[in-house]
Amino acid sequence: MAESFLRNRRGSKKEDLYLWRQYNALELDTVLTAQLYLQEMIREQPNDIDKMIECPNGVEENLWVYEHMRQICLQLNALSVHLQSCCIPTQCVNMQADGDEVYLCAVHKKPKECSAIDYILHTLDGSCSILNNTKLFPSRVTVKSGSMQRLESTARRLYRIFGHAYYRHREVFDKYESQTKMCLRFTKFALKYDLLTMDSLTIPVEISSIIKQENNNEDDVTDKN
Amino acid sequence: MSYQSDDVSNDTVDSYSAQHLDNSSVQEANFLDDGGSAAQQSHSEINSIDPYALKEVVQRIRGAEEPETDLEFCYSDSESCQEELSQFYSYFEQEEVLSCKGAFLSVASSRLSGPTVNWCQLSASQKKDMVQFLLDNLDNANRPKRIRALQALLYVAQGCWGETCSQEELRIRAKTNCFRLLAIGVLPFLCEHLSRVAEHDAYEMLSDSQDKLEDDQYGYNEPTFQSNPETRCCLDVLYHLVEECRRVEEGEGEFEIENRQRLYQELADPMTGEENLATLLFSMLLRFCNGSAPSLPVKKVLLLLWKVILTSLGGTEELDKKKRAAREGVGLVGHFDESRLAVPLPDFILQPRDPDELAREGSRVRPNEDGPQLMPKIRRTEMEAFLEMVQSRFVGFKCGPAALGGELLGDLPEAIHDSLKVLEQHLYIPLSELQIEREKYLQLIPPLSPNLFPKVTTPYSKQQLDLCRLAPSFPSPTELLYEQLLPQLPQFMIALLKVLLAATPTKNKTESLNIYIDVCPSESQVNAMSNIERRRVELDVHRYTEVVVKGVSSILFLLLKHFKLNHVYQFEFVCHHLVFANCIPLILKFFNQNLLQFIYSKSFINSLEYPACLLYPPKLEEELELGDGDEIEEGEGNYLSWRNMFSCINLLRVLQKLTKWKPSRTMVLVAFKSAQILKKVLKIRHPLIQAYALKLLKMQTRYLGRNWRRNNMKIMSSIYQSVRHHLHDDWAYGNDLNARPCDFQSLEMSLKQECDQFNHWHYGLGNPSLQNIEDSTPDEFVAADTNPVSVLAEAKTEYDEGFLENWEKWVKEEVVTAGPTSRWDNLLSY
Repeated sequence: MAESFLRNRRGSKKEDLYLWRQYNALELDTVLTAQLYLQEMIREQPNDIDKMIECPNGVEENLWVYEHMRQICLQLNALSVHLQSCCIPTQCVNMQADGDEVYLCAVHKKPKECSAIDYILHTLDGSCSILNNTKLFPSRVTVKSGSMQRLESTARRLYRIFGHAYYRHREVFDKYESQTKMCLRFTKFALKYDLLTMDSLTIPVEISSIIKQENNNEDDVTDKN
Repeated sequence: MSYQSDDVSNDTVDSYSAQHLDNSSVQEANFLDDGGSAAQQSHSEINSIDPYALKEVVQRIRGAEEPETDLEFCYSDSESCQEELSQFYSYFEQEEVLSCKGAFLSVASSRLSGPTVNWCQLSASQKKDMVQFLLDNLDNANRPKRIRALQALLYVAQGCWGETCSQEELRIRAKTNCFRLLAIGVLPFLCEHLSRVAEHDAYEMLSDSQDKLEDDQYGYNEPTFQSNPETRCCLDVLYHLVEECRRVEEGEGEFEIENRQRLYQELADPMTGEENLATLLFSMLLRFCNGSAPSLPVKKVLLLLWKVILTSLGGTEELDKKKRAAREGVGLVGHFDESRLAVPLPDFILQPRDPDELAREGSRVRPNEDGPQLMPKIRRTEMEAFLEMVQSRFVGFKCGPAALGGELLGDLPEAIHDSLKVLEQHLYIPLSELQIEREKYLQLIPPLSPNLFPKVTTPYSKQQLDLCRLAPSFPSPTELLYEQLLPQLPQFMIALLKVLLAATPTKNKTESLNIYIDVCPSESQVNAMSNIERRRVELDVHRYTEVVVKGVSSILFLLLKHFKLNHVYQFEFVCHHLVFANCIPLILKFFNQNLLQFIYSKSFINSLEYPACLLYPPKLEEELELGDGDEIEEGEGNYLSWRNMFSCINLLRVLQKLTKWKPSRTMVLVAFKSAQILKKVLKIRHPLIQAYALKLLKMQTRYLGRNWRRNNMKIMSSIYQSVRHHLHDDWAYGNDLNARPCDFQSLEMSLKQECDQFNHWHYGLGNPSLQNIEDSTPDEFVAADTNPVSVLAEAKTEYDEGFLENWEKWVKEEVVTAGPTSRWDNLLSY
């Protein structure tokens, strides 16, 4: 089989998925190196989150964050599928997370208080369209630092999806989290790359390892006061 | 002749000049009388006869009547940062701005659970966390909560004035904070929020008018100050960020420089869709002007728009640099320095006219000794005309422009050679000429062989023309802006002019927009006020109007300047729509007020200006005293209003840009008796203003007739002295015989067509000249559909019988049974 065909063929059975020959993504000559590497790692070592979020050599850090965000959006779709069965618009009328705060759906021109499941789907769609905006992210090899701040607001909004699942649909969340460790990965990732701050976290995950990192990251050159 | 165009006539700014030129002079006289009488009145909105106002007016006029020396005024892109920030707030808003501190403290203490929170003492990560928390709150469905978060952000952007009481320190802190906010990434988020909120405020106001929000603290019944708190606050923060961070100051570190680059980038980046901040602001302005969002704080929108344009496109210095670079880029040398214009006029122009004296003065007219004379210019077309003339005289036939190279000149007398040599020394080729030539040959290239250089008679080489193309891969900010504005450009220009009209003191009051929403309390409130309070409101309105004019005038000026440099057809397109929206009479109308009063108007109270009113909030009585006493009126003799001078210069230059080399538009100037108005403008003793007024006079002298010229010899001689000469331009003596109305119409039309062609070619905008063809044969101009899905869905593909009989069998054998072992890749390689 030609080596450049790193994709699942149509009609493959579930057990045959991703059964292509081992390769080292970082050595492949393709613009999608970072994505391939990340996906490979998620398949091969799903539990080694620290390594997963560590930016590999030869990949630009901004790009790495960007690829992670793409991947998270991809995988969060699975959570939304799980939620669809229990998060019913008549029950979760508003998007709420831990407190009583109701969030506005940011995708619409006229801000709307969408039901939670709509909020989740709209936010995922909105995030995808930001990530796929060719003006903001024209390349898959390098990402300009100006565009990085879009990722922060995207991250904040995506985090609310976890929050909603955790506080309103705990069973689904636990099941999903035990399978994918997504929330843990997202939290660690966002803290490491400064997309969220420690105080804005609302979901208790194994924080001990995170705190260590946080101390290392204590900034800051920009402080002038 | 009529300027009614097909699509904009309904939107024209003001009906007074709809069919101006062919009508009798009665109409024109009306226009002038109307303006004149209105100028006598106090030109604020609330127009009660107030003894203080009257006194003030009298004193101002008296004080301003006879300026003795040149005004001390230095033109620049804007005032100091402090002034600009201060003008962003009206006095009426003071209370609201004061409440920001409370908002910040309440949000901050809920977040940090400390008794008193001091922003300065927070660590960097705490600050970041706080800002992110505030941004997070902006997604909240609870409107008052969102507003509180915005106010808290504003408080930070203002430099946390609760924590210091020195203005100097506040300035430094504000700057630091703004850079920090920028670094955290507040700007794109706020832009996005603004786009949502701007719709939202208007929407809530329209839909929830009566029933739903009776008990809400923000009523929506009529557009008032209270109906747009969120938009206003959002604009406030954005303005602080842009204004503080755009200014380059000495002693900046890497952090500032890096973040300024980020600012440029973020202003250019699209927000959610394709549009960026400038486009959003333009469309907000448009919605305000067509009535769908009457509550928008239009002054703030304008000022922010101005600053965004100024930041992303650059100011005068930047323009100069860009112009040099662009000219050098296409191999044009010689940059005629415009700054040498600033030579003061001789005194006699301002003294009363007296024939004897005039004669004596006339004999004393001397070449200007103060500075070097402006180098005269000549255009290529003028040179060619000259050559044609001599050829037909001496040789008897025309050789055409190719002869300029010099081969066919042999037979001409020596003297002609000499004069051609002199002319060549003064030949000035503007960038626009190259751009026009390039467009001409672009139109001729057959679409399928782009490398062919068609045979066009052009004095320039292909290489030279290619150099001045629009770079497609890295569009400059100007190019980006044009591209984004283009679909709605006519409406945007009309919107700008509508606002300018509303802020013109000599307008007819019934026709215009209400731009005073965020400065004026409701009528009932005004009635309940004491005289002194009313006086304060009046002053506030006055100040507000001046600031609006300042904003509009500099937006117009910057747009024209930048588009001119970027591509001449972009400039012409904008100009065309401005002219058809009656921009020329509007500006003349503006100048038809008491200008001296305008430039000496002192409409501010120091203690109410922005940082001062926060740091040392004036007690009510003190404030009243200020309004009561004569302090405001007296001032220091001749207080010169920077912003009004600035507006005057901008508007004059816009007028000059619109009419330069355009006989059709010069005729509009003549028809509206602009000479009379411009003569009054000359009374402002500032070299720049006078220079542009004289330029405007110069272009129309030939149409004004011999009598006018004889009666205005002083003006003629000062034009001669201080405006650049064009060799072969007989402005002073010529009676233009070609001045026939039909010519003008066709001139405008062909220009419009060229612009349309340009837009069609480069931006795919519908070409009107192709419209008829498209109607008849639609297929020819539609791109071929290459998407397999839609093609398959549309076409009924006919399969041959063999395929229809056998395909199932084939699928069974080759796909189902063979399964994944089948080598599909090999199939492809056949």
